[in-house]
Amino acid sequence: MSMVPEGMPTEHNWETEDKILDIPLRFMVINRRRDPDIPESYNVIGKPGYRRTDGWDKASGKAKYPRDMSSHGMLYARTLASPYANAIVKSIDSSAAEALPGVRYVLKCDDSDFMVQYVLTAHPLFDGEPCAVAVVADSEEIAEEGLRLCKIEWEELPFAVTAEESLKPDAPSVLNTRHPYRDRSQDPTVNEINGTFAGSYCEFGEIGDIEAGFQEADQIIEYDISREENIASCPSRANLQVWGIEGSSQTPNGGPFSISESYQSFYGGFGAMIQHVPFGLLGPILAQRTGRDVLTVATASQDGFYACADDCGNQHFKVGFKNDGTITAVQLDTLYNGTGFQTGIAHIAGFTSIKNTLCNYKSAWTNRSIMGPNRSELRFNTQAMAILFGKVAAELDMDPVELSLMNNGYEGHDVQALMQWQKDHGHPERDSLQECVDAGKAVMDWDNKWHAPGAKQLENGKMHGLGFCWDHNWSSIHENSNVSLFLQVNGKLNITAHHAEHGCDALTTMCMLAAEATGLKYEDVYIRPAHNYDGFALRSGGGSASMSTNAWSIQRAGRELKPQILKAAVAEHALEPTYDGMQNPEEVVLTSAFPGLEWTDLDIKDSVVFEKANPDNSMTVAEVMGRTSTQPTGMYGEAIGPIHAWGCNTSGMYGAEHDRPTLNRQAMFVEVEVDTETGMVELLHGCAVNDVGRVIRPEGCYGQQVGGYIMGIGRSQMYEVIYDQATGARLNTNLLDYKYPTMNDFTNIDAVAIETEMGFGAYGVVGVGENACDLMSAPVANAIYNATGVWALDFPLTPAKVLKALGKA
Amino acid sequence: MTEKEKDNNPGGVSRREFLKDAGLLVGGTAIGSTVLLAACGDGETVTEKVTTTVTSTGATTTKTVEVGEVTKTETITQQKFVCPIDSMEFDSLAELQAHFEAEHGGEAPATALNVVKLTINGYEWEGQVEPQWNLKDFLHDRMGLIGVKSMCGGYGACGSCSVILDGKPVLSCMVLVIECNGAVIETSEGIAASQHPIIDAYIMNNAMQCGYCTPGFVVTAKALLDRNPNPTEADIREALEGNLCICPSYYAHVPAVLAAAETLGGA
Repeated sequence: MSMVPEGMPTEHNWETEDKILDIPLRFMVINRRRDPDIPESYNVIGKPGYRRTDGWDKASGKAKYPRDMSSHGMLYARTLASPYANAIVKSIDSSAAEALPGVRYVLKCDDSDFMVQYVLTAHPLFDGEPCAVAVVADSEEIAEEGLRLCKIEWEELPFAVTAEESLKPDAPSVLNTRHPYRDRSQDPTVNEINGTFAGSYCEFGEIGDIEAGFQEADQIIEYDISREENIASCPSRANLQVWGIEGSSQTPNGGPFSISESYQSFYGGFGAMIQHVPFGLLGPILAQRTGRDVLTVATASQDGFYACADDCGNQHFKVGFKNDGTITAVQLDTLYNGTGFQTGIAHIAGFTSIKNTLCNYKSAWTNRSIMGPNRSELRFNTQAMAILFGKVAAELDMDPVELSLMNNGYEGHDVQALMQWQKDHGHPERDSLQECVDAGKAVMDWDNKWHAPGAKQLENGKMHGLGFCWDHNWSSIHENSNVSLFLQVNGKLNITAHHAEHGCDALTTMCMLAAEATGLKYEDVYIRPAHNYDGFALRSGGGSASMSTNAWSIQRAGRELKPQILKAAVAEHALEPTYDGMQNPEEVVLTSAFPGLEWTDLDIKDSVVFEKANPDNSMTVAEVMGRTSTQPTGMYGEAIGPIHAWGCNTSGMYGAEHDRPTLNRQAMFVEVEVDTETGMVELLHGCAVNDVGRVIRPEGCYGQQVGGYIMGIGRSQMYEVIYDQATGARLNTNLLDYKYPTMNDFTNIDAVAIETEMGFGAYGVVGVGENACDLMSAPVANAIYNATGVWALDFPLTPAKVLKALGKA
Repeated sequence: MTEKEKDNNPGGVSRREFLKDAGLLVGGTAIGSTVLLAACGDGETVTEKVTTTVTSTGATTTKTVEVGEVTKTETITQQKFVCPIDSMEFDSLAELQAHFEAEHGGEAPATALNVVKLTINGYEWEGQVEPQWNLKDFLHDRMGLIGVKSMCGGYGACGSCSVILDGKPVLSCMVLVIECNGAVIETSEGIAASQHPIIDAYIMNNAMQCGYCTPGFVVTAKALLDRNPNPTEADIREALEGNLCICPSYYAHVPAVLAAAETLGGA
């Protein structure tokens, strides 16, 4: 509690009327509202400085990740990575592999078990897909050598690595039935051989009257946005398959199973790594076949790059707007590679006052990696939002911030209607976007620095630019969770729960939530991973909504646990232990620790039970528990059973009104300099502003905002999986050729957290982990336009692409 | 097993016989392997119907012993030295060298027998290694030092497997163990065990997210502080630039290292 990280607030700025008090800042929490139903202050949540509960394990290297798991007699499994983009296995000769000393089992795709045929495909559909054969051996290197000894006869097939090629009438069929979203292929609107979906997207097809919207407009513009395949996961993966039990890299439970060898830590997978379902099923099969524990290990090129983000594709926009800045119609024609999980129109339709929208959505199977949500569904939508307002503002010579505020709202309704909805449903009448914008503009000195496109050249000859974008702040409780709180006899509280600690510091945060809900000190709360020893498989949100869901579960369990502690405090017991157990029960005086008081007269704070009317009348929780539970023999009085409570959250159960619009907003500001000779774009300053509803752990919130910003640098300027069009091979599936940001790729970042308590989660929280990085791509594009007067919209915005946009390449 | 049970199992094998069997099996799998002690104590026997499965991963051998329906898995207790020519096993390097000289005609220095002596986190280790073993896998898989992570899969591209080798930070996936004879190696576990302030500084500055890359950062940062007790922000960024964090947690490393430097300076 003594050491506050640099840049962290030393106190909560509760009643901050002046929004920005202290500039420059690295992190500030702004909360200007007191809801009468919410306590004036919290004991634990929102306060910085709590020692990270898993900090020592992670810093020392003792934290166990799936790849670090081991057991006696454990075997290692490796699968073949397809060398072709599209091919069929004709035959496999594994005799040499089976004869290799140390090889224990070889599983082949011609196995009679249909599950094996599903898991170990004989028809890989992209370069690197696990397929054909798996070798189980005493060591990873022997398994790898065994794979090399397998002689496989292939039939190479034509391939298509772009959606355009895939949808040609004579294109080869590349339908991937192993994809988790394969069901979309059943949609009757599919009209091409590889089309996964075509037509007007069902949820956001036509809203309003798109033609009327264009007729109403004073101006109409059209533009294209495209993005290359990308990935932002830690490219390391392994699953330990304890006999018949399956675990995963994302959460330690897979469906009905739970893992008996528990690991607390997960790689920063950000969702995409779980997309390849067969990999998770391979281990149990191998464990069953060998009768041994099997660690299935994927190579970096297999794992890290076969689960890519789902925003690879092209968007064509047609936008109508009035000269005052009111946008009247947005039409999107989009074409995705693989199975796009995003539309690009959803946020425009959902979180603005734009009344007329149409999304013509089409996606196509290609011979590319499995694609799925990778740190959120926000990205293409966010990108679409940002470029939309940037483009229209440029046409009208307006500040994009002002244009955004004009068009804020929900589902075609303006911001006044949004305020009314908030009022009608018990929420504060706060304009979340306005607050985000006010904070960000102040941090960036936006009004003084804003200039016309291409109008400001720096002394070093580079061009100066500002960029902005906004969106809703990820707000969902779409996942389920269970939490168990168990108060030990020494007054220590154990949380037993699954969690999704991918880096958001879920463990510390959950301990803080439990401390808040029970009145115990943070230092008295511990968390341990759940496993099947606990009777049944606990569930937790997989990451996206883990905070919102787990906050509800812990709050609920804590509120059930706390009265039990207070009832124990007033239960009548012998004050002194009766060690010999021989006293006449009639001679034993039974008394309460708080004579004459009911449990409702008591409260708990900082692990001390006290009389509300007389706080000096107190006893620690440890003393209460010791008094009632630890007398060795001859205990008299009311027996106190284990003090224990469950809490659960069913998706959407708490805090989510039907048809509730998303109320929380976020904004991202960047300041760049562009070298028009080299195409290099350097970020000079950035500010992420998130209405997070309520900050639980400031360090975690700050980390997600700033960490997301830095990941966003990769998304905006670096992440790009390159395919060889001639062979369909992926050319940069390693960390030498696929670029991630480093320590020297960022500088000067601010973060502001707005607290409106309007989120779905307990205490009004929303998740923040998926936000900042999702916003980051688009403001960079807007800033490049502001710097040069040229739009570069072919992401990632590498120097080469910027030069191409500038007409210099 | 009780004395009564022993009497009822006259065909049981002695612990000595059990070990002999195990040694033969192990000797046939890999050099530098270790043998296992039976679960039973001295003088005890196990049932005659014993099936054994030996899992060899080079220097580490695990043996699963199935006695009837009971499965026992034994732990590593003893390092063996194996002749590279005839696979005979010896309990010490000196015995192996004597054997080599007598049977194969000529002196065999330790290095010729693929024997390396290492000091790992302050503890000495001597044993045979395979020439192709890299230091990362050796430390992680065979020494159990799981703080030696692997993100890039052996490309030398991520820094997660960083260790301090004779005072310098190295990518252990790029180093062969057999090159390390006589080396002093320090991993994140050793740094933590030595109570170095970099650990606490990383915790209190929240300089981690998912944490997989964190031990590599800690190692590199500690090596920086060893050679430069008063680093600037630029020094820290330059030193840590080779360590990748995907989440990322970069924003917190500079304050963490500065805090550790301050603590060291004040000590």
